[in-house]
Amino acid sequence: MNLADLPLLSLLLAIPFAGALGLMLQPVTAAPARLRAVAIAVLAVQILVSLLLLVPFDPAEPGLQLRELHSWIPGIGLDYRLGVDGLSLPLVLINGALTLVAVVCTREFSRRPRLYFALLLLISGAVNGAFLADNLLLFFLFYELELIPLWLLISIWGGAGRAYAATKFLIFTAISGMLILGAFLGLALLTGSVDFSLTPVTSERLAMGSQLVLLAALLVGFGIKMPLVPFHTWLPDAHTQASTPVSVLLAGVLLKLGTYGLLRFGLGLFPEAWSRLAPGLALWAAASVVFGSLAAIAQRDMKRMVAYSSRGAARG
Amino acid sequence: MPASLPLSLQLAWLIPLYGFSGLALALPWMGGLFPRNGQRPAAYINILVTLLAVLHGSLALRDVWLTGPHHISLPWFAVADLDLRIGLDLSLYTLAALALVTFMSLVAQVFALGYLDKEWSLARFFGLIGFFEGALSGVVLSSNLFLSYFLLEMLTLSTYLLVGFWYAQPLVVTAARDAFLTKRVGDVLLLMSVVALAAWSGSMEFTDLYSWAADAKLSGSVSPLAGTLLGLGLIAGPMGKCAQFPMHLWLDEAMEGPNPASILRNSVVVTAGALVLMKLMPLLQLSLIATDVLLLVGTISAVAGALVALAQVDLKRAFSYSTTSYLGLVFVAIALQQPGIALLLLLCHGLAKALLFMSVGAVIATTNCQDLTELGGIGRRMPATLSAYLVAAAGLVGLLPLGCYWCFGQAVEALGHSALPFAAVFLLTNLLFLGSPMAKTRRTPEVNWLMALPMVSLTVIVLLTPLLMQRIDPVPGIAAFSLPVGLAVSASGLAGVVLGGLNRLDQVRSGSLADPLRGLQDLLSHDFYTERLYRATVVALVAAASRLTNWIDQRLVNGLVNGLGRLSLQSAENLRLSVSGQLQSYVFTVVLAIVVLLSCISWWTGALEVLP
Repeated sequence: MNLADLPLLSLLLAIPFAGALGLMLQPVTAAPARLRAVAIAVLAVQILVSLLLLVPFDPAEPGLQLRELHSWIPGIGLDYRLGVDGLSLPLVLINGALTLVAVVCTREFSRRPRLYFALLLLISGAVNGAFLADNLLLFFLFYELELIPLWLLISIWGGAGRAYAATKFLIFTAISGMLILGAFLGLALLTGSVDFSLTPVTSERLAMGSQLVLLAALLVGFGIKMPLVPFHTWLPDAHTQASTPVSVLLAGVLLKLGTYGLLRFGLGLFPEAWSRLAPGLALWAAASVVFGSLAAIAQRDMKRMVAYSSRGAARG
Repeated sequence: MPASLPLSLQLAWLIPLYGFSGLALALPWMGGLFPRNGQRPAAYINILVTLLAVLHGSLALRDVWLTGPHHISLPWFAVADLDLRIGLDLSLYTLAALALVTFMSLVAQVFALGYLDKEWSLARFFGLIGFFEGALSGVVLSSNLFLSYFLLEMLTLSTYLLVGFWYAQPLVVTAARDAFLTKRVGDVLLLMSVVALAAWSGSMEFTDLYSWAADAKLSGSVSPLAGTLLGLGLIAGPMGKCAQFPMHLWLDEAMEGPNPASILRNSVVVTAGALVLMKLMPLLQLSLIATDVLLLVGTISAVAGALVALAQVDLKRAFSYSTTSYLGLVFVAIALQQPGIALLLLLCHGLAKALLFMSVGAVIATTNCQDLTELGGIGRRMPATLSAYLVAAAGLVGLLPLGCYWCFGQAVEALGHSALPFAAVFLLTNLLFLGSPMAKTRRTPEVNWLMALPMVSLTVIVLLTPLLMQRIDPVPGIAAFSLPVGLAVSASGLAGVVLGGLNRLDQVRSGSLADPLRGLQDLLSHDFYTERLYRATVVALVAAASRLTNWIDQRLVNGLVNGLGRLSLQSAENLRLSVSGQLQSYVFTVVLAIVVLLSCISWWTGALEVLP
């Protein structure tokens, strides 16, 4: 059977979600080690499938490949469209590998292991969805979906100040989601087309002023997620309070969503407005790097230090 | 590449990979797959792959000798409009440098087998040396600035790991950290220039960059300021690598690492840094200031390094400062557009300094002591070490028939016409290197054969350096300098040796009681207090800036966020009190909100039209 015929991308979503469901169906009394073994098995299959992507993937061809398309709710422009390109492929691989690391390095099993591992898998699936989505609304759906399990992971398994950190994270990321959704809806409203596809907006279709406003909303939205100064204060708290495996996932995968979104949607949708803002963006990113690194030096808490340095690394 | 090339040249890209494969092959032992007392095989494997690299390199050298220089280029990474290629330059001088690197690595590894006889993590050491050697051979062969930069970073990493080899000691940890950070400063500055060059010239191959630089100079497309900044960034990388004046502290601290790594670091790593600088030289013509800075840095390093070396009591540290000093001379030669002299000096210095460090290593291995005030009289007990030391020292200070003598002679002759003061620098530095005899310590046996063999063979090679130089550089003749110059050089060398012989070691080192002398000695032995100066300026500045940033972050940015949170909670609390239960007031509020929202939207869409 030909590999290209398999719905590999859908499998990448289905496997972690089904795994999460399967874990929740286990009896409450199931041994934590066994639950972890199940999670590891699911992730192994997920990584295997993401490695299989490399076979039909053609690096020479630009644009999205291995596309899958199913009409979902055409009335509001929400289609189930997936695709992968040179930008998202490595991120998908990293996502699988780091979730596996997070599962393997989990040391503390005592509290509600079933839910814990299921949530980790849920995050992995949602992040895969966000990386593979080829429709603005679909991306947004997955972008928001990943938020809830992470919030639970911080607020259940976190440290002493977890309530503060989790709420801060939730509010910041919800605002980020709102801005992004606002930008997507505004785009549909202003251009008059509701297909929410990833086609670049030219100045014939939309005035430069509106483009700049929409891009600014996206910048702030993804800037919160990346995070760039001054929208970063949620990250040090989240890192300090989250348990180490969750921190691994947060720094390794979830923050990449911000950069990915900025590249895919900020640059992909508004190339003209982007080129106008580019020098300013470079300055902003450089300021973020310096600010983050300097603040990292002043930290005494090691996890906080990592948080600040990962802010330094998240340059545009 | 044409198929007609000899096989050894076609496969030249393999040479750096030998070293890296050594690391990969040592991994099972490093990872603890085998018992900790069975680590020798990893060492043997590494020596074997290094031997392969030496053989391959010498075959390639022979083929290039016969068929002339070649350039090979391999695709590496291509995405959209980014096309990175691995370019290797196979010319006589790169391959000679490669032979030096691989041979030194081989010698140092055999030496290490004896020196680290009782070391637990032998495999880790040899794996790291393999990594080190791979990166070094890559740097030497690379014809592409980006590749060079990349490999220089790998060198920085491997230096860090090697210096921090005995990571359980606090001094070692600070030394490794300082080495890493100092080189990083240089590397980051270099990266800035690399990025700027990539944007301006569009290619990273040195040959393209040279023609771009020549064009830019003619057309004036690069402003003087930009050219100066570019040049300063470019020399910062090699300055960090070669431990030149403002970035020299790490080399002295790095002496905390194992001695065999010190051999490599002081002979070939600094050579690689200088080679990169030499490759960058044509790009520096965009800015006179950069050349002047190079000259200044070289001069300061040469004189100050030699002075500081005199006042050290630690055997290894004294010689590390002398490395700084010699590389300062190389920098001066490069800055004065004398690449031939720089190359010869590098070769002689590399060989002699490696030998010197070997004899020092032999002394340390048998006495477990590197404090000069406690050593002496080893000569009769360790004849091989003594002869190696004497030959190396004589080679370094330029006693008559040995390598550096000819280099100094040529340098003084060539520079005498153009820049007399710098010729004086050469003579002065030469004079400063007092050979230090040793005279104490009973019951020190000669080292084992694993250390003696490479030492003795290298001794022979150092003795033969003049012949080697004649082969490499036959055209102008290495003896192409006038009699007075030759006399001056040998006089300065002899004067140094005589002075060194007259000064009884333990008296000088134990410190003078007279106040002015005492102060001078302290000043020198503390490296002109550079470290304290750094602590008071750079380190303090960064620490203050980071505290300020943290304050802004905590008080202003985070304070704003928390304030907003408190504000919304507070307003919600207050609003709660206004709940009356009357339906009319609710409806009124809702209608009011809708009106405000709609007017906002209409104003906003109107404003959008006005925007450009």
